[in-house]
Amino acid sequence: MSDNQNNIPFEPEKTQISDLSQQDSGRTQAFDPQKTQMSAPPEKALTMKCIAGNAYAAAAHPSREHVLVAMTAGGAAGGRRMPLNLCLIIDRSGSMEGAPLEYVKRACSYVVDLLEPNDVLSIIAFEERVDVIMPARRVVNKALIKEHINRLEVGNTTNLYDGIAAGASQIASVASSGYVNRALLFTDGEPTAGIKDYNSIVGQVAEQKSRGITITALGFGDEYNEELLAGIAKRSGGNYYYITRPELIPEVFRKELETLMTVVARNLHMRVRLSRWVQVRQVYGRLPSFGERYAEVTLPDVERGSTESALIEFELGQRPAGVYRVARVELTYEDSVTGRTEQLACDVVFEFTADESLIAANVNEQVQREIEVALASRNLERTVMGMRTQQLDPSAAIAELEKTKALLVQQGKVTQAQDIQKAIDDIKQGAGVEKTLVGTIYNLDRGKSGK
Amino acid sequence: MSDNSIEKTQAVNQTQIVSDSAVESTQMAVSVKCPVCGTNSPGGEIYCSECGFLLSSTPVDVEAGLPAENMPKLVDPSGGREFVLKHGVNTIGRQDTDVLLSHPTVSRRHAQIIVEESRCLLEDVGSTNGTVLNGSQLGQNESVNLSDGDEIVFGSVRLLFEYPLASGEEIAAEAEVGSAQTEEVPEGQEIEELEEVRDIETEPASIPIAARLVTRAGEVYPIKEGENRIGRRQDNDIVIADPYVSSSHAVITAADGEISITDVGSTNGTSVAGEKLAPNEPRTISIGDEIVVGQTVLTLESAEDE
Repeated sequence: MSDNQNNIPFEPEKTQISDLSQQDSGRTQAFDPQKTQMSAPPEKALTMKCIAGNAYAAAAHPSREHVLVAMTAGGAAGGRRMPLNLCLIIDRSGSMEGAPLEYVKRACSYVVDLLEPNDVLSIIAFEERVDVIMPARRVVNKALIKEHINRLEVGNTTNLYDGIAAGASQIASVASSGYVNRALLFTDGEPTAGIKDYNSIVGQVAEQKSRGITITALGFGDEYNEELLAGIAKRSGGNYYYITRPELIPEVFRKELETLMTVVARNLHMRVRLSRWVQVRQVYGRLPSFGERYAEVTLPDVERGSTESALIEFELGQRPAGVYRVARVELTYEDSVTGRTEQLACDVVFEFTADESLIAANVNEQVQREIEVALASRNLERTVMGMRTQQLDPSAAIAELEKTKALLVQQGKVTQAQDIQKAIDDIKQGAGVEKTLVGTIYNLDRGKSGK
Repeated sequence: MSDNSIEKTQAVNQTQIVSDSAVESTQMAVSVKCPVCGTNSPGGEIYCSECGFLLSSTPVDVEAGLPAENMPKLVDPSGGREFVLKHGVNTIGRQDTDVLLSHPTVSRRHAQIIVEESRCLLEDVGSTNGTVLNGSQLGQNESVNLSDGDEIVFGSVRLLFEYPLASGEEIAAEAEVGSAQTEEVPEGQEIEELEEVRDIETEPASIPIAARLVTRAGEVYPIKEGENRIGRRQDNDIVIADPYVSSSHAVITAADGEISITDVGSTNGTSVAGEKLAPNEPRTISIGDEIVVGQTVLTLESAEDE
């Protein structure tokens, strides 16, 4: 971060213009990184592409158009990874007694095994009280750390808020650059002690995120508040897991750790600079902030070989026919291998035309699919709400889920379609499905793919 | 149609050729005036720095294509966002509306502004958290005239109405606005997830009783003598379908002419008149008090005025 020479300003005059004869790419094109940065290495961790929902927009009329911004991390399996600064924040409330706590201990020990001496680990356990089981330190003496873990015992209530605060301060005690910072929050229940309300907890998470600390939320069992945990993960840009059975706990920890070890870009900030007569109407599944002629969103960390995307809907004011850059998308992120802050930029260009047949004939199918998926996610949200408030009876809920599933299958979202099938089966068995579905919504909204 | 596509091809060719020369002329520091918006961009810019027009191309029908300058709009005073309104009905809400406000305190269908020749009318279309014009809460189906500079708050999203040419005579018409009492909504408290809740209208009290709870959406929950359990689960006396309300959230006790409320250990808490209750400590409430359970705002009203 202190390395100023990496923050090279954009040079707009070097922006490449789209090749107008190529209509399939929707007139917008990935920015050529080599033309923006002089001192950066030629290979960047991320590439960014803006894909317009249509090559054309209506001239002399207001219209709405979608643009998909896709950020892809290279798939090359480099040997190096940035060390982790990891904090395990573990719920040891009374309900964890027995198998759950035993499996959590096993999962924590497993994490210790997977870490290397360069990685930093801290462990927080919370109930009514918050205990620092292990302050942030390098993973050198693994046997000693495991001894600490094995001393974990169950307590009484669940003070989630202070648990998160304690974990974040352990992470913050180590210099922020040079590490992938992450807290894994594991809980099996509703917060019952300390500050308990949703807004305060998620507010704290947002604050930690602004300090570069991401929280992955792991919910276990039937009692935890899925709205709260998914909210934490979403606000933080971390992952959200729902763990149904205690014996699955170690496996989920392993999965999350492997994900973390392949993070190639973190602290992603996307700023969409807008030309006159252009507004950002929405960024699906995310809460943008707005400023003078721009909208901004924070995006989750990106792992090797995966793609993170943001679907933006623009409100385009009326204008004379012609070719216009309606927006310029700028992305900054920290390369997790070099630790440098990198920038990418990409122009969003439409040709405004009075010829409606041109507009009709140039719909981009990939963007269209993403719009469908975003709608499926909203449908799913409504279904979950309907079930929660008993306005949808099981058969009506199943009918809704079948519709959403069919849509997702059509759009190639196989994993999420399978989740929904599982939910349908569970409803038939009379089991609760909200936790599964909240996870599905979470994954759909993240627009993540690949791997 | 075929004529158009020929034109288009020509335009494309022309664009490419000219843009090449634009790149070459990068060194020249002559500024370029945009033929569409008239802004001067530094030489070497490919697109107009203001409106984004591709400077190397030639626009068609500039006069006819420009947006009308004098349309009314809603402007976000804290950011750069603005919503230009169109003639006719402009729906305002959180989902699929003309003015899209992605904020949890805004209802899916929240309000609308009707732009007519001589006036603009604002109406709340049954939002959960209400619409406030210049500090006064709009009543149900109340329609008020807007004038330039008006401040409108949808849920907790504050916007300014701008319509420079339309001020003047309409101002007098809005004098009747604002009879309703404005109630302070605690900032960030009232997350509105589900307007469908309104469909489960509770039966109005058939037996006369002393008090009732009323939500912003107009749902009425009569208070009976003795205990009234509030929660999300169906076995409560007052079932509130708000995901931020706990299964068993609070209890209202009406006894000896006094009404009190006790939070029974809810997750997201209960507050009375903006003050958060400690769990399991009863607190006396009186007519007019505003009670927030989870994210739902309830007002204790007298049930005798009907």
